[in-house]
Amino acid sequence: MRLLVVEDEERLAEVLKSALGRAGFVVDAVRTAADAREALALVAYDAAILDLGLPDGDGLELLAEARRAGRNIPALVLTARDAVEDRVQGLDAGADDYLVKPFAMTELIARTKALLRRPGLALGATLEAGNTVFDSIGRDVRVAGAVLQLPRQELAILEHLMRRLGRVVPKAVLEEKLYGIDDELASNAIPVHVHHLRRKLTEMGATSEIHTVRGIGYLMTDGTR
Amino acid sequence: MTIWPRSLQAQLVLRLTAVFLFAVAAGVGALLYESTQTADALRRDELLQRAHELARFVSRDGDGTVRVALPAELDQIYRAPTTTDQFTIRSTAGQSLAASQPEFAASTRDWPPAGAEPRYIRLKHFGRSGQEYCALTVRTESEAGPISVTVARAIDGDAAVHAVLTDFVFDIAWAIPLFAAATLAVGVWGIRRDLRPVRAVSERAATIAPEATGVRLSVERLPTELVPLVVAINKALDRLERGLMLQRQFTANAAHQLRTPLTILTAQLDELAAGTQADKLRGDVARMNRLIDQLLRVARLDSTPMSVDASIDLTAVAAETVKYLAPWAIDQGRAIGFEAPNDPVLVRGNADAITDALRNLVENAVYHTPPKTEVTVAVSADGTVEITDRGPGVANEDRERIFERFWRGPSVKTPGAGLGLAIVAEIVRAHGGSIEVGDAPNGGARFSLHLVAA
Repeated sequence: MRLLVVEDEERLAEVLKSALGRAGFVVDAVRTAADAREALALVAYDAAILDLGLPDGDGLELLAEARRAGRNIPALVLTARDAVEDRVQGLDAGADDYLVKPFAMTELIARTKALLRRPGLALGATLEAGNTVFDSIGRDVRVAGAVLQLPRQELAILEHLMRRLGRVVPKAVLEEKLYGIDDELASNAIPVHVHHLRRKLTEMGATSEIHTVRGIGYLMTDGTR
Repeated sequence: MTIWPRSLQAQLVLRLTAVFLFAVAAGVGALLYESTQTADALRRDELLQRAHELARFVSRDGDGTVRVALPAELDQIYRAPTTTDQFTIRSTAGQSLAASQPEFAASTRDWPPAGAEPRYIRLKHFGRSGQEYCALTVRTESEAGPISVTVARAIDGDAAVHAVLTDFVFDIAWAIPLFAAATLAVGVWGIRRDLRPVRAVSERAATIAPEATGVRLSVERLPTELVPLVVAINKALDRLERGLMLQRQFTANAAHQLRTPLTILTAQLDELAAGTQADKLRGDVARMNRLIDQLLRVARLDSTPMSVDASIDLTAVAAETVKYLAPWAIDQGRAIGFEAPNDPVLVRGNADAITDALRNLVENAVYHTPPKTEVTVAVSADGTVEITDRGPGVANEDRERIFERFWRGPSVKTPGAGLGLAIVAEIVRAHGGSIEVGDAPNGGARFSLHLVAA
């Protein structure tokens, strides 16, 4: 998977490139908005990581421009500004996610992967969480290589949790996903399904974990902590 | 130690009272002196008149002897046993011709002969009653030739002076305290009235605080004497505000500038293999990151006036905060739970600021709760959020101080500079809400944040 990193700070661009490289991405790093424009026109990148403050322009402008040109490339914006107006502006301009400096490289990699895990994107077909692998096209789940048979409801829940790996998925969102499958949804349907799913994953020796955020929803981690 | 009061009112009262006392004393003194003088003069005139009157009754018989024949009514007055009027008539040679009483004649026998000018003498302790007498001796002409007449009258107390004083007290003096009181009242009332704008300005000045430096004092309706002071204070405030603004901008800029190098540092540490040394460094950098984050939040709170008028759903804001922090809390090995009523809880405030406050409180709770325990965030319908941990709790004596800037407890293990709770307290204050910390029912600390219902 090929990423474009637009960052004017040389040292930061360097460490981003090496960290993302070790995570298995092919990274092109450019330092100006002009170079970024050129690169975007030449290469079909899977995602872009953009710094907001560039010497010859604003990262947001660059992004809005790319969106107008019909490039649907997922974009993660990096900024030293964390004022909420900036965040809203960034999301309005078409950024898919937002990361405030300073951030941990693991966080950046996780967020980048999350971007790519969206349906139809580079990582959208095969979702991974530790040794749990979900093939969203073949609809089958393998834990450490062994196939795990799951009912449709649990599959839907697992897929969504894996697409949002490391983030909280509200219970209401999971309920929505099940409406099409179950005609009538019992009030404790989600906890019951999650309970079964959790038990089955543990029995198969999955390293991934499903955590409950009581009163909000659920969160899946790949178990590397 | 000085006992002189600094209050203008008290000073005015004291000064005016002193002036009044002095004026009254001087007036009464002058009056006494004048009336005494007048009484003396009147008495002398009367005595002289009487001496001349007596001389009219002195005549010489055919045989050459001098006779004094008083009319009956005068004789009665002078010879009455209780009389206080006395006289003696002597020849110019000093020989006594007549006297009202022998004792009086005796006591005047040795007096030098009178001259043409009247002489006044005071007799102390004369006669039966031992009264003080005022006497006059004068040489005057009579039918019998020149004679020396001495008349005396007991000074009947100072009846005349008393009469004048009594008149004075009843006719004039009673008005003096009234007049004084009225003047004082007008003075005090005037001062209070003139100082009312000063009090208004003081109240306004009391609202000046680090987070409200835009306040300036109005000179409207202020006594002109005080205008230069207030103008000078306003100018001083301008300078202070400028300085404060520069300092805040500096803090914000410094924190921003530090972010990129810190990101690089963090990234490079991530590249190091796990190990004691690298882990320690990672911890240090995490602490620095948090400190810079807090500094930025403080700088932002200080520099931008916060609008707290929006009606916001506290449940939504709190749920968003829990959602945001849950991955991190779980990564720390702690659980996080959320409780809220089904209906929205509307409060008046600024969603970003309240998010900041809740984030600080939840982060704090996660740092203090032991592994595998839950931090609970509970919203209630009255606009309260309670953040409960299962940690050691906050000691009674620290419950006020933990909200002060840069305060860190003796055994604090959280990263940061002790700004988090101060930020929370400032946000809460700006919202007109309150925050306190107490014990949770099952041990641990419970922070209760109360906001104003919308």
